Amino acid sequence: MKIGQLSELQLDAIRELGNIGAGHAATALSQLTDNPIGISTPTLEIVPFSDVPNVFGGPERLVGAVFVKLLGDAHANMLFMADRDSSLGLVDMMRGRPPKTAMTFGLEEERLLIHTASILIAAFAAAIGRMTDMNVLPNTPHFALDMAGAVLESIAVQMSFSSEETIFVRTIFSSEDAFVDTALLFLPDTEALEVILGRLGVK
Amino acid sequence: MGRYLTDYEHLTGVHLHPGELLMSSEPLRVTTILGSCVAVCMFDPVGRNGAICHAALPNAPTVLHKDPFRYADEAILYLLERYRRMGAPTSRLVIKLFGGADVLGGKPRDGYVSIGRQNTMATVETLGWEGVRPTVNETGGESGRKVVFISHTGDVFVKKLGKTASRIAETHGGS
Repeated sequence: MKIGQLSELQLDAIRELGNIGAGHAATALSQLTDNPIGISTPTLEIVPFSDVPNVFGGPERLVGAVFVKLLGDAHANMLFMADRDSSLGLVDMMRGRPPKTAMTFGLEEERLLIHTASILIAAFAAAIGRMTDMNVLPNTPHFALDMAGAVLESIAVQMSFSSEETIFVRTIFSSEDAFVDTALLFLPDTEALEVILGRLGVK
Repeated sequence: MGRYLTDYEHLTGVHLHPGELLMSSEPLRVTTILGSCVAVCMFDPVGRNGAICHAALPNAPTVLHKDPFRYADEAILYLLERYRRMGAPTSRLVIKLFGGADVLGGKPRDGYVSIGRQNTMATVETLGWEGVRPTVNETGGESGRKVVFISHTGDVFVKKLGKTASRIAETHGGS
């Protein structure tokens, strides 16, 4: 089954995975920072690969991206993306500092963004694993601070253009004084998508 | 021949996606964004027409397949053949090569060659079979590139972003 063929019921099932994952990630991040961090109920839509850079303001727009392959019983890819300013906003939130404190990307900001995105992705992967009774393990994260078009193109190539669409999960992080708009792209291979939907009972 | 990109701002702009190629004698400003893909820019200084391809994968499979211009070898051979048919021998062409980066920073491992590197190798090899060496080979690294190709002059402008703040400040001008 291809992503573009998903029914509304099947999208709902995946949305539920996102809700559970976001809830667990919010708890983990709040414990980690000792500050309440919320993650909105994710909104989910199908977005063509070629349109994703436009969501971030165009293919030349600078974005922070963390790419993780999911291994185990279901092969899928997950890509966390936020434009540069939102990425820095998330770093400030994790440090418990006022918005716009971080102005540039250094090694510390890169590590913090990778860590935060990895927690979100791991929570999503754990939700898939729990709901489907499968082993789903996140592999090593890869980071890029680059043009949205270059990042998406590299992901499409790594996936050998196996999908023309992405499952685009918009996720808003919030703290007492800030909101940060981010996206999580869920990119299962065709076989994994069928297995997950089958286990969720909506094949 | 313009020295700055602003000299060409009045030209019609075209965005080239992965798997596409373009050949034109009309003045066009062709923009493409590259990660691990490669762009090969060709220019015939006598006929004054330019061509560019944006290839995403190195070598075409031997079985029947769609999207032939997605593969570096097929896209390059197609363009060189078109030039030959127009009376432009490959020896006359000015060829410039860009892209092939490892944007997602995969660390080199024994026996592993990244897709960006494979794309570059396949491109150089294909050009080599045809007896052509690129005059510019701006490939590799861990940063994406924005390439702007001017079809009627063969000029190419490249913007490259780095990972650290200082490099972004230098190359991106804070825009």
